[in-house]
Amino acid sequence: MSAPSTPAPAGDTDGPDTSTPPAGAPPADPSGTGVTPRLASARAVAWARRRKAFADFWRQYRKQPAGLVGLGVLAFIALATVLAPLYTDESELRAVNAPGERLESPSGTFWFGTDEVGRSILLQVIWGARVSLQIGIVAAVLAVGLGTLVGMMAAHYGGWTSWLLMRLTDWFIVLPSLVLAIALVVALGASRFTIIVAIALTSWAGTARLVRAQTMSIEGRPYLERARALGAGHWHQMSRHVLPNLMPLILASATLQVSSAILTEASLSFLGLGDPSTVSWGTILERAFHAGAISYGAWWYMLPPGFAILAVVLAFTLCGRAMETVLNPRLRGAK
Amino acid sequence: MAEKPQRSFLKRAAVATVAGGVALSMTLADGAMAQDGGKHTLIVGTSGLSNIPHLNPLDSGWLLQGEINNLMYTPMIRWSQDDFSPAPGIAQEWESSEDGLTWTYTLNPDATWSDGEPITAEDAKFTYDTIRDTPLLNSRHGDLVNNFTEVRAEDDHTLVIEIEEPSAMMNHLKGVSIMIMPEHVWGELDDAGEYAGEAGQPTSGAFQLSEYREGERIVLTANKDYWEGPVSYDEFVLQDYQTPEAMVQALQAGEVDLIGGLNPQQFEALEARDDITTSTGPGRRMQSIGFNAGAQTRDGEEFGDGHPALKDPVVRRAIAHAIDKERIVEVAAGGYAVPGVSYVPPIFGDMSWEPGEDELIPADAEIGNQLLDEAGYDERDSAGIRIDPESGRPLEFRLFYHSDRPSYAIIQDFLVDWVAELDIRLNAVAMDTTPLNEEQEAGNFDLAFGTWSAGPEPGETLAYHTCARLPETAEPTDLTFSFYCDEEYDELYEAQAGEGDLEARSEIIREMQRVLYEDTPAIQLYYENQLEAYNSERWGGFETQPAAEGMIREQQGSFGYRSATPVELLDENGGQAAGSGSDSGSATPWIIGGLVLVAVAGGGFVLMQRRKTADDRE
Repeated sequence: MSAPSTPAPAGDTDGPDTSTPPAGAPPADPSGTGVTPRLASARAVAWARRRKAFADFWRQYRKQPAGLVGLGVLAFIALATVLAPLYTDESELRAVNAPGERLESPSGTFWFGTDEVGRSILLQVIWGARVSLQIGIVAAVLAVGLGTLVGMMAAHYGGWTSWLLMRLTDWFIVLPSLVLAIALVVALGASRFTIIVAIALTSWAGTARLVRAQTMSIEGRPYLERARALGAGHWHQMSRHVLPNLMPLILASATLQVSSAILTEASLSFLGLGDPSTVSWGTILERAFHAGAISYGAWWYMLPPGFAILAVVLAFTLCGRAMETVLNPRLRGAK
Repeated sequence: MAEKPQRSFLKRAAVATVAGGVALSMTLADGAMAQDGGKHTLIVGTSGLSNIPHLNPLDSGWLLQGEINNLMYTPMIRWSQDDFSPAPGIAQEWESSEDGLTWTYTLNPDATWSDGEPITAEDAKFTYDTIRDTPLLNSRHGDLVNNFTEVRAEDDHTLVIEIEEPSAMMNHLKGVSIMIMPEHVWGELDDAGEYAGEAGQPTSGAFQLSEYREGERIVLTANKDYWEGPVSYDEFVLQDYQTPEAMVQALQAGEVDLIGGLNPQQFEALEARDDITTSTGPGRRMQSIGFNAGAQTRDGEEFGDGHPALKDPVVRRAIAHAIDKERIVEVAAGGYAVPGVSYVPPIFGDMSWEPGEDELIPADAEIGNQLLDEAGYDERDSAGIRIDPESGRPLEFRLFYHSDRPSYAIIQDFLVDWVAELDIRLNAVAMDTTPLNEEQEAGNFDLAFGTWSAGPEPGETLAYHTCARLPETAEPTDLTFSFYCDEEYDELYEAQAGEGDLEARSEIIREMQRVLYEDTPAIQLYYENQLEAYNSERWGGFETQPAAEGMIREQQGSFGYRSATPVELLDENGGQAAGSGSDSGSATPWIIGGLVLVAVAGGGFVLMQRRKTADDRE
């Protein structure tokens, strides 16, 4: 949706007749400030434009403190998660190697206390982040991918295809997604893979509706009419014209989707449908509940994974909202 | 013991699961009307009530059904409170003829039904005949009644039973598993198997049924002139809770009076409170690891996909050597358990076997390695795993555990590492209970976790290892443990079944356990303690079974419930304890925190129900 601010339409169709040298030629002037834009390859032009669009985007994004906070939190969590093997010992997650006593309260050694076996809660939360984030992100990407595909097809083909796809979408929107996810996991058997599939299958419908509306608006633009007149096929229209213009929307949607996917994963795990051989935030909560942490008053068993979920979900939501604001001039204008 | 009906129960439980979730919020609210107008009501919290399909006392395969039966009926012969030995119930005394084929039971002349009619030998004869002729009941109790050639009432209080083969069961007539039914009421039933429990029926015990809301609660009213002496309160309520944690909160809030089935953390949290008294004692539920000792039919046709090396007792024994049961008890059960040995828990006294010094399998991987080396498992593959010389396959086994049992997830961690010291690899696989049972029954497993609640009649448990329990065709079966079959063991089983003398029989029973221990078709990890708590500001006087350090709930009898006394009626404990305000400071914030997190998770407790199904059978 960066389209309105740039004279993009013409440039976007880096059409069939590029009179420029083959791809191997050095780009004359990538900065775009240039003297002779004629000499720049189409690819270089496109990249320059993208860089500029990104710089614009970043300038707008920077103006939103909430978005920056979200990004900061995400960066911190990503770093902590990726570097986990460097500063923690994974083998201490095994009951055999539990270093502490049963349900020790937080101390200098165990910042967040220990569980009923004597394993550090902090360690579990750090390693749990890997699983929770992995499931959340993969499921969100799958869901948004599926939603985009369905939405684009419904908008592009119209007619009965659209009708059929949209009724399917409505059906999935109306179904209570958690119940459907539970049913799917029970039917397929609990594992990381099935949880991802279950979450993706139950959360693509919203994206499909969004994408369909946006696709219809894009397809109404004159340059697409021109492309069609020049003989562009379905695939060319979709991949070269519609999808690039959808990308910002999809990205924002996916960011928001990660939040809900992480929540769903935690819910499923808490209900005992998680993969018991791995540690995720949801399974920590589940074990805390069944170990009687509430009765015992072991708050350190429940609050850290709870807050971790809260932090990540909040961060993704803040980022997603900030992106939406940047990409939607109407939201920006209201301020 | 559950027999064939098991499966359909599981299915029903699954259906009830879905329905039960809806009813959850409603049931929690109406528990707390305990003592109004001088009426005393003992409210017992439980979970898994929705597993129970009906309240037919003669068709009872669940622990909770047994508890209700024990409250409403008096058995012919009970299991004594002290040590589970046979003790008088409706029958005052009994004796057998020289050849052990004629048994005479003298009934208590004071015994009456709650409607005032006397309990006679005719009632007993009617009951045994009904069980024999009703297919459903026969499938459950045929082991006893199909051996009867004649049952006759000599007079009102003398019952004579002639049997075909001498049988040790005649000493207890299956204890509390078979209750005598009133002929003057049951005689009019078309099909005794379809009786599902009806309010107001005359009973032979301390209570009668007044309300049965399926999956929610059972209300019993005390029989004021119960012939063995009425209880000191008026009403008994069994209230269902979806999770133990909810039950603990209800106890703290004063909504229930007595709960059981706690975990160590909950137990210790309740122990710290002034208004609640906890009780623990060795229980009869055991946790074990079963081997697939070679799934086969009675004719020796093999089926399933078990690892062939596990047919060799040496391999199984070596694995047993690697397991430190003390450590497992400490970590997985918080110390509230007794390391396991055999299939008969120590609370059953004489019937339970303890290994002598030279028989003990100590936790020592060294010995395990030595055993394996000597038996020819001394070659290793590129990964350092021992190779089975006969099949050429590496000793790499699957270990199935239930994804919904937190303690199993902990134990399997230990097992995998310990067994690795033998250069044997265990691949732990988490599974839902139902598919796990199905794979196990079909012989498609190597090692699998399991749990079992043994009754005081050891024959019922030990029968699961006889060759006769193997399936006739290569079909899944839940009648055998480990598909074990051993001639020596079968001979011992036959011998004890026909042994009328208690002493001599217990000796054979112990010998059978020794054989099992040595052959190791399964490793008994531990016997769980019963962890219970009650509101001691309202109730006291609970007696346990066994009398010393036993359990209050899930007894083989109703000693605990019958001895319960409201505090005002207890002489030695007249003064009410002070209020419970002091502790609210510690728990409340965490409860709120917990609730927030629970809310995050969406609040669908429906699925919790599933984890109960396997535990509560007996």
